[in-house]
Amino acid sequence: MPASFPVLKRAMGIAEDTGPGPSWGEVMGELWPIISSPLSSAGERLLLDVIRHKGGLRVTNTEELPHSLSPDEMLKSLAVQALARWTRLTYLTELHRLELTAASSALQDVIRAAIQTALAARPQAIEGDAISEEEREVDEADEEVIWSVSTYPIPKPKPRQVTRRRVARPVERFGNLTLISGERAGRGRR
Amino acid sequence: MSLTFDPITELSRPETFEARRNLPDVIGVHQAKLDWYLCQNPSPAHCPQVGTSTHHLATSWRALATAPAGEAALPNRVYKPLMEWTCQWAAGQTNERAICDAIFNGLPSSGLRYGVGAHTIRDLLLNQGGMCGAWYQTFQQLAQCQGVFVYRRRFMVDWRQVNGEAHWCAIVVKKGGLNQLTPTHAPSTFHDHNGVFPIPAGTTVPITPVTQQRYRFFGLPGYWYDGHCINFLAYEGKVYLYDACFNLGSVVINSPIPAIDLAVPQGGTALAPFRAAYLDGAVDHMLGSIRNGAVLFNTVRQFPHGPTIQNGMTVRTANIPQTVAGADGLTFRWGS
Repeated sequence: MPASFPVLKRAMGIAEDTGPGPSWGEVMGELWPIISSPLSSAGERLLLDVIRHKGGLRVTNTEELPHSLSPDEMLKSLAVQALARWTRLTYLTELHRLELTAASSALQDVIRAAIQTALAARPQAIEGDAISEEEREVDEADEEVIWSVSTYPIPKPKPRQVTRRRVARPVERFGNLTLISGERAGRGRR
Repeated sequence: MSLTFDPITELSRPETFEARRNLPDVIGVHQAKLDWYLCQNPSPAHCPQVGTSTHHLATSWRALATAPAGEAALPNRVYKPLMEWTCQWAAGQTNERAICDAIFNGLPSSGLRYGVGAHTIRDLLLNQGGMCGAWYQTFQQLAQCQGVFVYRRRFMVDWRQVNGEAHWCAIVVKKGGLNQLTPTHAPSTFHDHNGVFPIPAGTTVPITPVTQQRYRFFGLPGYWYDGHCINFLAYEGKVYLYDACFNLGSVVINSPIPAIDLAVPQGGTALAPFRAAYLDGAVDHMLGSIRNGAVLFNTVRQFPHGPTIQNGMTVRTANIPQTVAGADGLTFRWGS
């Protein structure tokens, strides 16, 4: 897969090539390998460029165009879903910004649902008088992602022996103040 | 009413015209004539008539519709052709359903078409047609012109894996749609199965390839992608469906208007009234990757190499049961 993404950049008008835009099939041909597996850093940057892109998409008007959304909205919709899927809430602010500025209610639906799905997949905190957090020993993108939509036939990334360790910190209360110990209680047996 | 014209710009100031009588309190397009006289200043005894201008006054039913809570807000402006058309088509109508029916029945006379690459109301008007994403907005605004709110809904193909098969990859429609004799998509080869589904294990059925122009509304595995867009009207306790693209209107659906929820697919009994009243007739086939004996009719979208598409098996929609292999036979995801 070329890391320069010439087709998508041509479609967004950010490439030097000022010729006619690519077909929608060509756009999807370059996008699909990016979004169907954990994002590379170049792919992640490209998807951010997509959701920040203002103006229409230059694609040739062929029968392959999406039916229910404009090409620009469809590209943004897929970028939003891929970012939420593979990076969860890393770009929450960007997603909210797009939701606020999107003219299309259909695109807004997708953004809201992608955020909700990513929120639902977030690890739950343990209730009680202890605050727990999870220590991650692998890069987030390498994890198997919990996603409520079907993943077939997207190849699920093989988890590299993801080990999570629950860390509990004691909480002390003084009046209205809650103090959390700076020392990680989980390092030793409590 | 007297107008004074500026000698340099030759324009008058903007003036508000007021009729002596009330405008007709009914939907319609009315002719008005204005007689014009030319008077110099100071005014002579007789001002000669210089002509008569004719005007169309369109009167609508109610003020522009607004969206209920939870639905996408509507713009507080409309396109002039849409207002003129609806005042003409729905002339004399006095309730929401009759107005929507009249608008729906008037659509063919607009000359606008389905299957044109436009996705907004403006582009649809400029290009004399659009895709379903433009049409459900346009139908909503046509009703809005008369103060009637109709819901917009998009049902998206839910590409799932069931027992090693893909149920389903695309909606397939043979009709050309509004003011189109045939679909605007290029011909491709389909493998229709119009018999019992699912095909009983260990048996094969005859599949005849047919190369034909058909619309395909694809899904995308693992993503919320494409589908079809329609409108709903809630009126006097009933739900009516309007599909402006494929000339299907005023279809009574014996279920609530689908809730917007992309995360949870709808199928089985929840989808049954929608299927019975509309989908099974409107959508000829569903395209999937389906096994016929030992042969897998596989649907392939070869994205990395471009747009080449291989159609798997197209199963008659009406023959897909509510349950297949313990799962919902047909599912969609609903958005606005």
